[in-house]
Amino acid sequence: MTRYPDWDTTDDLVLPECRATVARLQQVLDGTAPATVLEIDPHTHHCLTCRHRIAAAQALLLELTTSVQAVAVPALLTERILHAVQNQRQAQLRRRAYTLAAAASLAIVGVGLVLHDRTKSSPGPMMPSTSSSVELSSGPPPTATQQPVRIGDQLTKASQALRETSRPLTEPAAVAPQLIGRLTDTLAGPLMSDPEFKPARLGDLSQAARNGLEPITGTAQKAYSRLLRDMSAVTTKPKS
Amino acid sequence: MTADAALVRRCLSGNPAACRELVERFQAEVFRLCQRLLTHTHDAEDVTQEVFLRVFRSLNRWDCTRPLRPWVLGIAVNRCRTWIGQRAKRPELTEYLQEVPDQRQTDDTLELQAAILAAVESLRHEYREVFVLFHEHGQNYEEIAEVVGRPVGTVKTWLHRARLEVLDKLRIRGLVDPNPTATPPVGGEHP
Repeated sequence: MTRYPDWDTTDDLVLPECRATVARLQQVLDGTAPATVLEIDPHTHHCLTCRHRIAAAQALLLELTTSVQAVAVPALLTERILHAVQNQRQAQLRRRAYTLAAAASLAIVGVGLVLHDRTKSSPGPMMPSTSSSVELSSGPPPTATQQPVRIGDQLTKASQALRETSRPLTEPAAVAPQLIGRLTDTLAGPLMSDPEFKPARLGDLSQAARNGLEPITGTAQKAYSRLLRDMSAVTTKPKS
Repeated sequence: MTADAALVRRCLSGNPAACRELVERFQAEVFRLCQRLLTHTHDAEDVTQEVFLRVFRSLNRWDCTRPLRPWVLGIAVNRCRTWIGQRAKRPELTEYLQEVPDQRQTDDTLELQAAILAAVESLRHEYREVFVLFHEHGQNYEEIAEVVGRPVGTVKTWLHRARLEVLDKLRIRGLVDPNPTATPPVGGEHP
């Protein structure tokens, strides 16, 4: 009998005088000894327990042989298994596709975050690298071309935009663009472009100022008249 | 390349005919094993299906240098163990819903068959596994050791104890004749 390192015999389960017979019975059941060894075993002639064991072993083996043959596989088991396997494969493919889609989404979000961080950390506006290099290599940077904000122009644009809007306006609100337009027309119009505008001469300023200084006290009017007299004495022509 | 490896390779490439061939090659044995370990036909069908799902899911991890059959039977034994554990946690079905063997005995042979089945089914599951694998599936100690993941010596111990328990149960019930007229060959039926 082959001895295995972890093999624990069944000696604790049988009486000492029966152990040899039980060991032979196990060999027979293992198929490593012929059944005749049990027939010639003298112990079985006077041990009823071992005779019972041997008879039970015979019945057991007979039953196992017939019961193994009797088991039949259900008719549709193959189709059922194959159907389940196919479903499992489709589910795996779906899961793989979802995983890929999720990974792609994460990658896109990650790239977006990285680009966002770079934009934040860079000092100027984000420009393509090629144009930056061209600018660096083409000498000194051009002067700023940013136009100053003109309030009149902006108001004109805003009023124009309001006029052109297609949204229905209520009556009080509809007056607003016209009002803004008037205001901006006044503000936006260049002073020098007015045909009626003529720059005043220095000599005429005294009379204009006198006409505009009413009413004021007599003392102040005397002082102002003296100032204007002195001013009229000043010649504006440059010395040659 | 062995036939098993070729079959597995075809299965992995998605060949439906190969998948059918693999199922048809092992399903009877897997179903029989599940039925004997679970003692329930419907459970055995469910577990057989689970076994093949697991087989196809893990087919790419199979070691092609080893035989396929013990690997498949090992999965079956593991699934049966898991199923038995889950079944133990579930509430017990009432008796009329269970598949119980017909208790009416027509003769002594049927009574003996029922007693043997009951004796085998009453074994603890490790003993029953090695008993069924050896006596019903014709596997030797080394193959069983691979299937159940235990040393060969442990398998041998379990099997000898299982046999002794079954024989003693039959002996105690008095269902066998200790003085047969003719002694039939004992070891000849081993597959």
